[in-house]
Order: sequence, then C-alpha cells, then structure tokens
Amino acid sequence: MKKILATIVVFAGACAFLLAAVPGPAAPDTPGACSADNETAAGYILLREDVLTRPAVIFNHEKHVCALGERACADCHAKKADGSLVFKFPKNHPDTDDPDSLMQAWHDGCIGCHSERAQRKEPSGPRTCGQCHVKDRKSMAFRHMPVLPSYYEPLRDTYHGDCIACHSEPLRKAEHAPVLDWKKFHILRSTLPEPEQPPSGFDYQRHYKHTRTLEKDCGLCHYLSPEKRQAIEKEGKEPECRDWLLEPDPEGSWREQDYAHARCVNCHFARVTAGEEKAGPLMCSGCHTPEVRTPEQMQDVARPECEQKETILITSGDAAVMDAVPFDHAAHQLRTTSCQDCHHNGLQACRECHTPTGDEKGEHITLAQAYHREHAGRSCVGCHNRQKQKGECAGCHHQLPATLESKSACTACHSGSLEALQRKRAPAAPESLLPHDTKDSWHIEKLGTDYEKVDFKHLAMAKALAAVSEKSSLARYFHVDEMAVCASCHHYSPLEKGKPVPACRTCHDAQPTAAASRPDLMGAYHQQCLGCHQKMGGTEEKMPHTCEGCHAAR
Amino acid sequence: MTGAALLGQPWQARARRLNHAARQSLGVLVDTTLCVGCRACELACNEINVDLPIRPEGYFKDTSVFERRRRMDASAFTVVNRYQPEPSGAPVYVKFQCMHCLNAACVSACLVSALTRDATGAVVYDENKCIGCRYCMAACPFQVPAYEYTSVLTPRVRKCTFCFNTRLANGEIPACVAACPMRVMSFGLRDDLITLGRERIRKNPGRYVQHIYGEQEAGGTAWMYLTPVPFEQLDLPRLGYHPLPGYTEPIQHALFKWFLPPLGLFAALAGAMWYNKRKTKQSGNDIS
Repeated sequence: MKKILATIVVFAGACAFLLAAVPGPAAPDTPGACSADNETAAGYILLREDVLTRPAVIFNHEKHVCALGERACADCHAKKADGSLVFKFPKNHPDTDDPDSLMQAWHDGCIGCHSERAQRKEPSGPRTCGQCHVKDRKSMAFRHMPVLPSYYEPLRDTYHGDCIACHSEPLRKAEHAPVLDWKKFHILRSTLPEPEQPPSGFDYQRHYKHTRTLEKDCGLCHYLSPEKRQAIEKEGKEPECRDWLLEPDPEGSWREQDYAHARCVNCHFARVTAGEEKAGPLMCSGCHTPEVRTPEQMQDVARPECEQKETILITSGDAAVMDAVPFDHAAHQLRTTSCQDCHHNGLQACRECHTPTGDEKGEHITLAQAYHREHAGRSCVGCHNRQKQKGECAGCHHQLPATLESKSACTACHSGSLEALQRKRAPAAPESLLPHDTKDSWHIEKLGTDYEKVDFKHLAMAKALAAVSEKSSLARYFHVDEMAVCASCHHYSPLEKGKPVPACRTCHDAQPTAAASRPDLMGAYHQQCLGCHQKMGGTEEKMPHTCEGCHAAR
Repeated sequence: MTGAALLGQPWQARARRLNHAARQSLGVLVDTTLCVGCRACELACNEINVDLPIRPEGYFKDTSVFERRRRMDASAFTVVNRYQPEPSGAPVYVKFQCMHCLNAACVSACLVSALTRDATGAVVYDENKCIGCRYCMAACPFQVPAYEYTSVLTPRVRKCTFCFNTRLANGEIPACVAACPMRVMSFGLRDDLITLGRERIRKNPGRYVQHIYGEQEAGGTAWMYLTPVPFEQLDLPRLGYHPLPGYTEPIQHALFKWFLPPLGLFAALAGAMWYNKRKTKQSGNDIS
C-alpha cells in the first residue's frame, strides 16, 4: 500500500465544536429535532488532509447521532473511569500526530463499527474506501478553490465547456493534456490560513438559563481553588462572584475546546441519563447556532447577580493625577452581551492584573492603557469608539477623528464624583444656538448644468440631529458641549452660541486642486451630506442616497 | 522622455530613470471608502471618449449592474463594482480602469512600441502601430486591455487613456476625476498623492488598510487605492513589488546583447562542422 502522508485535522471553520462556535441564541432546552439532512456548517466535520491519496471525508456528525441515537456517544467516544466522556475520536485515540497511526486508528474506528453492525444485520455504513472517500464535486470543492478572482465565477461553466469540449475524443483528451490539469487552476484550501475563531457564545441569556435550571450552583461550571475556599470559609463568608474563576483547569493544560466539550456535553449527557427534564442540547447544532444575540435583544434577561454596586467611583488606587471616574456598572451590564465583554479573565477589578506601571500578570498593559487604548476591544475608549461607529451615531462620527485629543475628552469621564451620573442636562434647542439672523432654510446654488439648486433645510436638520443625540444615553452623557451637534457639520470651526460660523468655502476651494488634503466645495458637500445619509441608513425620502433625492435633474 | 526611448536601455538604468520619472509623473489616488457607486465616472468616461458606443439616457443610472462583477471591455474603459465584504456591513464600491503602471508589463510586451509610457505617467496606445498580437492583454497583471473582437478590419486594443490627448494635453484633469461628486479620486503628482494617502491612513486609524495599493505593487502604478478591507476582497490582485518586466527583460536582453550570443552559437556550429569535416577527410571513409 502506498505510503500516505496525511495530517488529519478537524477543520475548524466547518466543524461544530465549541471553540469555533458561532455564538448564538441559547440552545433549545430540549435536545433539538434530529435532522440528518442538516446542511448547515454545524453538523459537518471535514476531515482535512494535506497530502492524501484519496479525497477528504466529509463526515456528517449529525447523521450519525440521528442513526445511533443521542445517547450513544460512548459508541464512538472514550469514557473515563468516572463515566465522563472524552470527545476525541476514535475511542482508542493514539494521542500522537503521527499520520500513519492516526489513519490506522480512524480506519479501525469507522470500518470496525460498520463491520460489526453489518454482521449483526443492523443498518450500517460503508466499508470500502471509495464509499467514505467520495470523489465528487462536493468533496473537491471543499478541498480546492479556483485561483481566478471571483468575477470569473459567472463564466466558469463557459470556460469549462469551451476547454473541455475541444479536449475530448478524437482530440487529445483532457486527462492526457497536462496543461489542462484542472488542479493547476485551483489551490488547496489547506494552504490558506485557518479562519479566525469567533468569541464564545455564552451570553447573559445562556447564563441566566443555566442559573435558573441549576439553582445557582456556581461550582458546577466555575472553579474555586481549595486554598481560596478554605480561606473564605475561615472568614465565615460565602464565596462571592469575583472569587470564582472561569477557568476550571488549574494547570492550564486543556484547550478551551476540550474543556467546553468535556464540561458542557458531559453535564448535559449526565442529566439526560438521569432523566432530567431540562438537560441541555447534545447535538452540535444545539449550541452552535449561527445567530448572534445583541444586548438590545437581551434587555429583559436578568443579568447575573453580582455583589458589584450599581455605580462605583473608579480610582487608580495610586497617587492619582486625574480625578476619579464615576462608572454606572448596571447601565453597562445592560449594554453588553456577557460579563466577559469587559472582564476577560475572571471578575476581579481591572487593576488586579493591570497595575499602574504594568507587569507580566497584565501582559505589560498598564492600568491607564487598559482603560484608554483606542482600538482595544475591552477598553472604555475602544468600546465607546466602536459604539460611535454604529447606527445613527456613525453619521457624524465616521467623519470625526476618534481620538482623545479634544480638550473636553478627559473631563467628560474624569469628573471626580458620582453626581455626574445623575446630572440632568436640559438639551439646548437648536434655534436658541443660532445667530438671530440665520434663515431656517435656503438654497445651495451654482450646481453646474445638470442639476437644479438644492433646498437646504438647516433648522430642520439641526433639530433632527439634536433628536438623534437625545435618543442615545451615551450621547446624552458625552455631548456635554451644547454646540456638539453643530460641530458634526461645522467641523474644525470655532463654535460659539449665537455667533455665525465660517462658510464652507473658507477652507474648501471652488475647484479641485492637485493632491489637495481637503476636498473642493462639491466634494465637501457630497462627502458631508451623502456620507452622513449613508452611514445613518435612513430611508431615501428622509435621507436621500441618490442624486435626484437632493437636487432634481435639469 | 517616452517609453519608446527607454526601451533599448539596459534594465537597471531604465529602472533608475523610471523611478526618477515616477516622482515627476502624475497619478490618481482612489479612496474607496468615499465612493457611493453613482457611476458618474463611467458616464464622464463614455462622454469624453467619443468613439465609445453611445449609451441611452439613464444607462449609467442603472444600479442593477452591481449584481455582477464587471470587467473593462472594448465598450467601457472604466467600471465600478460593488463588494460586500461583510454580509451586514456597508458595501464597498471600487472603480477599475487601467492602472498606468510606472513600469508597465504591456509596454514591455509590445513588439512594436504601440504602447508607451509618457512622462506624464499615462500609458498611451497608438493604434497606427499596433499589429493586433494582443501580447499586452496577456501581459497585464490587472487584465485591463480589451480587444475589439467585433471589428473585422481595424480591431484595436482598448483601454483607459488617462484622458492623455483629450484633457491632460489641455492642462485639464481626467474626466472621471472631474466628474466624481464625492471626490473619491484625488489627482496630482504621484509623490504628493502618496503623502496624502499616508496622511489619511494616519489620521483615520481603523478606517483604512495600512497600505496604499499601487504604491509598490508591480513596481508602482499611477492609479493607487485606499481601501477599508484587504485588497484581495476587492479583486485587487495580490502582486509582488517587483516590476513585472524586470522578470523577463534581463533574460531577453541578455540573449541578444551586442548580438554576441547568436554569433557565438553560429561560431560554435561552424567549428563543429569544420571539425567533423576534417575527421571524415582523415578517416578516408568518404561516403559521398
């Protein structure tokens, strides 16, 4: 037999297991309906090979679970002495990367079971090579992808037709024409980088369901080291939320994928066996659902009960150079999908790892950086910047620099007292900010030969933007300056209540100039108006996206 | 200095002079984050190039063309395509046209110097010289040149002219650049545009990929792009930074340098003939 150099990898993108989980809504409480024809990615495991004499096997996990029954996990997966399952295949996994032993183990596992079942005259699976290693379009498409850019795709059949039409009898056959070897026009998928792993989908709703069903027994999922537990008991206290660790694996030797499957599925399995009514899903697609829940969809879901006060004053704990920051923890809980959105490593305070000077425990990210990194996922500033690029906020903010450079940026957060959270600011009516001789609307003229002049409703627009700003609690808190809404269009200008602002043409030239760092007047208007309309995503009637929406054709 | 004048020179010297010329040459920076897909550039291109087919009114307002990826052909020198890098995100529109490479593969491939690079930066086509071999089409890494397959007697290679004769010669900026309402395109000296592009990237971190496409790709192009997502997702092919003619010209030029290699070959053949003839004579086995 030919020596096969094969590396069998579970293909993360298509596989169902938790690390690559597409975060999604909570799994149904009852195990999902069995569907062998589940064509979604979850449910299939592609056994990918780099060099293999036969095509890859596209393994339908869901189909096997349906055929063997949901409780037959132990038919394929090993069971430990305590009855918990190890989610590796096959049972006698050689625990090596040697391709030959892996291949042998897989073949023994699959064909062995199929043969046994066939002998018992039970419905069984394939036992010959070509029945699993199917060489069809689907497996080929899994393995190879065309090298040509995707705009060739509509012409694919034409290419195939034209080339192959000539290279058939009586001319030189396609398989005898080396230049026409189709593999020369495709690349192996395995040479491409693995897709990035999406975050875990264990959100507030899933947590709430688990808390409710498991009657707040935190220890079933979270971990507390025996020493810490003793120390807490000595003080005569109950462990608090922040004492529990997310990671139950003291040595840190498990991968998150192994851990999640070993913990979650084993627990679900035990509950199913015990005949519990709410047992949790056993099928891949039960947890690995493609949808992602937003904080808005979980407004009614109870957040985990923690000992954290609703509002706190964050100080650096050191000789502070800035005033403390009042922080509304409860409000932030309502706008996140899970505690881990901010608390990425346990539930301690940030400064326990991120010290003011930075050290190894906090990966040398200082406390100031942990709060202020502009493009970090979890820092205050980073998250607020992302919020500003979403929905209606993006209309103005996509054009404004997302930096901490403005003068009011520091004091907006560092106000020093909790009272700032309570501040009730009566929003200024836009008409009260305008110079008294400003017209409510006017015409923008000089539009060349193709278009009529634009009817520009200045006051209505200012009012609409002020209303958008009032709608968002984040904007209400941070738009401290009463002219903040005006600054979205009148950028870079000095703004003062009741004072006229410089006209656009002050900075924007009438005609385009070579390599200008600012657009000319036409570009400025279009970028400002249309850019905002597009980002805000309003209707064509309210926020036109087309030329005629603002100015009629002549 | 034209591309034709440069053709006969050794590759390294030519590259040096081209790099010098590049600093003086013109270019366009396309900021794809600004484009809204209005197709005004396509309309302007169609109007300025009078030999392109006349389109009915409203032809360039049709947004259904974005349903598929289009390519330039003999009837359109520029096309705008729509991409959806993230299914729920905003679409990205990309305008395609001849990139007017600093060291163009088509210019190098052309047997008869019908394609030349002008000092302004435009890669110019002369239909009177063209013999229709279409090597330029095979050579272009961006698959830009198109051919008038429908023309029986006088087919031409068609591609964007950079408005070389129509507007640049009169001191005007290219028609598409002038027509763009969003000012997606900035026209100017290529060096200034690189500075401008870098400044935009620096001022708006997170908005752009941190690289100007075309600054170095294929040895540098006159048309350059700023994009919000990786270039491959927008059908801007991943190319090396080495100019493509740099791979072929050293071999081709070395083969015929001072005509010595061919002379050497003939000399070797003559020597072999002479030697064989002498051997035959000496052995006395003349079979003739």
